[in-house]
Amino acid sequence: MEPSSSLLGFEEEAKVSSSSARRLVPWLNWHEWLFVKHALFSDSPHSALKRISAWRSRASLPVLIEVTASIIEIQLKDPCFRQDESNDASLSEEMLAMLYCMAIMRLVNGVIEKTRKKEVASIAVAADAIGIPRMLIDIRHEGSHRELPSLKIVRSASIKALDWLKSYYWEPQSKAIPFQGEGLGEVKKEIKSKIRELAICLKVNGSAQSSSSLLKGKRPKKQISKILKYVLRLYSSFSSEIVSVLLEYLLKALSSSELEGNADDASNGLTTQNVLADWKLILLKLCNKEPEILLNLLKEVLDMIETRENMKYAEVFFFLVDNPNIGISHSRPEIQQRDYLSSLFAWLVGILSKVPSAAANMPKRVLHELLRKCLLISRLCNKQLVDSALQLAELMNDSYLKEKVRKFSLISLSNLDSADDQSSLLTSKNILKFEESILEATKKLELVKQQIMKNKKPTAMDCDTKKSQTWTLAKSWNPCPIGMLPRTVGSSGYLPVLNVIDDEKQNQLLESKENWKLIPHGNKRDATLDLPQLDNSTVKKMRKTKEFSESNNELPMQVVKGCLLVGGVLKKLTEEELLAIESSVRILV
Amino acid sequence: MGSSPSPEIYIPEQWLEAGESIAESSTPPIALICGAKNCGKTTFSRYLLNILLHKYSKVAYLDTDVGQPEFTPPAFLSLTILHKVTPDLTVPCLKTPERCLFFGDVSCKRDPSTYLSYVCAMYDYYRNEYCISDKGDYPHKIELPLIVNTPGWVKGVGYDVLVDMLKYICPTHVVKINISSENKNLPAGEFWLDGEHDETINLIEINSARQDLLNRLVLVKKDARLLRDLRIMAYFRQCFSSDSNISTIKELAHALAYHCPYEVPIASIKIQHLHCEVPSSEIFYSLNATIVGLAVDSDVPENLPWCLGLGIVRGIDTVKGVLYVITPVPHSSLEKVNLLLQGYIQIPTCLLQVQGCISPYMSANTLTTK
Repeated sequence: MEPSSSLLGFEEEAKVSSSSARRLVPWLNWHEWLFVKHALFSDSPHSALKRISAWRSRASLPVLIEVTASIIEIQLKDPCFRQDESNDASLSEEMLAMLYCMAIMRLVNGVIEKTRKKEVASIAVAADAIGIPRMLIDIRHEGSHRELPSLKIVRSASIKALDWLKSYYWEPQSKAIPFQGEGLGEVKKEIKSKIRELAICLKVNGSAQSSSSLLKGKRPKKQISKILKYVLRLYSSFSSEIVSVLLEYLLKALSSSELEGNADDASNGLTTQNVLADWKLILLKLCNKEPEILLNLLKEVLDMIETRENMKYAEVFFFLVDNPNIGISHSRPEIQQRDYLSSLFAWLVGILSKVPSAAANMPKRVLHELLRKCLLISRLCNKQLVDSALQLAELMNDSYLKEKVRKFSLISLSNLDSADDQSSLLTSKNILKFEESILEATKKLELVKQQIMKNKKPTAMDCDTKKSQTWTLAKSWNPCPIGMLPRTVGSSGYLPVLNVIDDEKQNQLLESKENWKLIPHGNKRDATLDLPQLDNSTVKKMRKTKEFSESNNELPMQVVKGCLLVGGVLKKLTEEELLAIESSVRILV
Repeated sequence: MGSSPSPEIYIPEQWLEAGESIAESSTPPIALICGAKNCGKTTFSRYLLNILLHKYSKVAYLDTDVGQPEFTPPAFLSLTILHKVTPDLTVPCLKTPERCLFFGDVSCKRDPSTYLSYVCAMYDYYRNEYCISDKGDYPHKIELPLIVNTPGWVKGVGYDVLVDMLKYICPTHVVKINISSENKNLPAGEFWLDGEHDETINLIEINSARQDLLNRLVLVKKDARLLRDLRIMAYFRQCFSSDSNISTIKELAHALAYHCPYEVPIASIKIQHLHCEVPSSEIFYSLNATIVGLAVDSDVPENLPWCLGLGIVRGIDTVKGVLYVITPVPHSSLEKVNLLLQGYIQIPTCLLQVQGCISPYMSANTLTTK
């Protein structure tokens, strides 16, 4: 009975070729792998060994990593390699030699058996081809067929083996990692060059089409999509870098173009369109595939506007405090900066409305947030922002909201006019009036939000009623790769943080206990497991459960250094109390 | 006989006789089928199932082959009650078992004692539920016939486990399927009985159905790993309704990435790896993007955790403290689940490679030397 996918209800498919060269690995990203690599060859490899045992439980651990971990773990038990004097359960020389020998045997077998054809080459020949030190081959032979080699020999062999493993696997693999985690500078350069390439390609493509030469037209297209794919792949790990690079380019384009100082709002908008026309295409292409880029850009620009405004008003405030009742004339460059940003924002919102997929898929609450922020920041005196807010409201297809925002914008316009007339005199009276209207607006927006929420509620209530259920369907779900968590928009997902929350406290504690060494795992079923893990105050049942107390779920991100969560309250414990807790914690088998 | 088996399956004369003799027994039989790997045990068991279903309205099937189970995805031991004849003997189909236990591995080699305890627990369950004793003095009267399928591991540890199984279950009929190469077969005669002869046991020895050109009885070649992957994919196909348009593996992978998962708070779930100790600080690294068994942990530690099905932990949000799990187990039964069992069952890699949604665990820059 040949295996056939149609057996189980699947249509026959051409066998998926392995040319995509992707392989299942037990680590989440290369950052994790690099962490293990650095820790493994450092002075205290315990954290790396723990992580490798977690990898082992996933059953896809490459044999070379497994063997490296075994040798290093054996070396930890070897008094010759250990600096301190831990006297618990030290092994006899015979046993140590046995362990080393076994590890070396597994190394040789594991590496060679995969690369040689049994009939063609002997083990020695195949080993030579890979470069394994002859010593290891001999030890393997000795150990299997003759008597156990001496401890001295296997000890030095283990050092040789580690060096060989480094040169055969660890170094080459880390070189094969893109960006090697060397720092975001590298990544940024790469992104910049890629985006420049993209810009050039698009320009070429645009002009090529007009000159209607088929040959030229095809290649840029392919290249464009290749670069696009590359940039988007980078997005999942380096999203903020991409956003900042794009923003840099956009702002540079705006500021470098010759905008005369006295340009009023209307002509500013036109010029923005012209200046940024090139970038429009790029952004459209990027945001079609990854709408979150646009969202992040919008948020970033708003943030920048906000900080500028805050700074400006802070200055003004201090100035007022010193010299009340003096009219303030805004300094030129700052107005221009603000105008750049607001026109950039308006332009971006324009793009948002042009990208139909993005607008449709962006959840309402995200647009709400944006709108709210926009209104708050506009502070009634930035017409462009208010207009953008109106546009955003239109995108949301909510007529009620649109009305409100329209009325609001009318009010703001009238305020603006009156403010201009009085040559921007910021008297305390005006400030109060502004504040009041802002508060009112916020309240109105809140009301609107609540209305929308209420309209949504009935459908949510219909499902789970009565008792609170532990297993519920996730309320809002964006598709994302298996293993990642969903983003607010788009389907690229972001990498999760998988550290157990207690870890922070654990590490802080461990700092104060430097002579902790891992107690060897004698018998796996034994009760005395790694005591450092029990360092935490919360008592755990080691074998089965890792139950998180309710307070942990509340996520006290403000972890106070040196404190433990005892009985739901952060307390600072003395050494003795910690020792007492430790001694009272035992495994319940 | 009635139902004609599918034309590709050849049922030799010996098998027909064996089936008849088992069906003819006066009391509902307990039949155990054993033999080397790929000799045709499963096919014979399906054939026997059909025969018994003509006589009895319901038949129980105890599947102890964790590598290639009949009605469940791999790594399960299950007891299934069947009442419909399977017309086509070539097509395996997924059914919901009466009870099952998640073993977490496709062979018992890592933990034969736990495996054996699971088998005995399933058999005990069968006896308690389906064997009633009407009167105190009379021995237990069996209600439903039972067919026991075994893994094809007949040497070494596998042999010992098989012997223990036979001693515990004491079936009324033992069907031993032989192939030509003698050293791959089980020993002749009642090999598990240490020389004593038990009157109540009928040993039926038959030969494997396939023969090669020299008329030697040969094993059927199978790609076990591929079969297992297909089985797992068919299982998760059940997350979607049967009329949804998913007919290729690519479509299934895509649908799974877009499927809205269940959300469960980490605090209300226990996580346990069945075959190794995972350091408590590394739980999530070990759990993310893996297949787990959804089990109900009983308060009494002696009771084994009955399992409801498989799930894929597709994401862990430590900030919110929730797990996201995809599973075809119906929502109403899910509420009981409070234990996730990790094993060595991997997600088929084709499910992780979705166009535009590739899992981070499928890495592109690994060296070709493993």
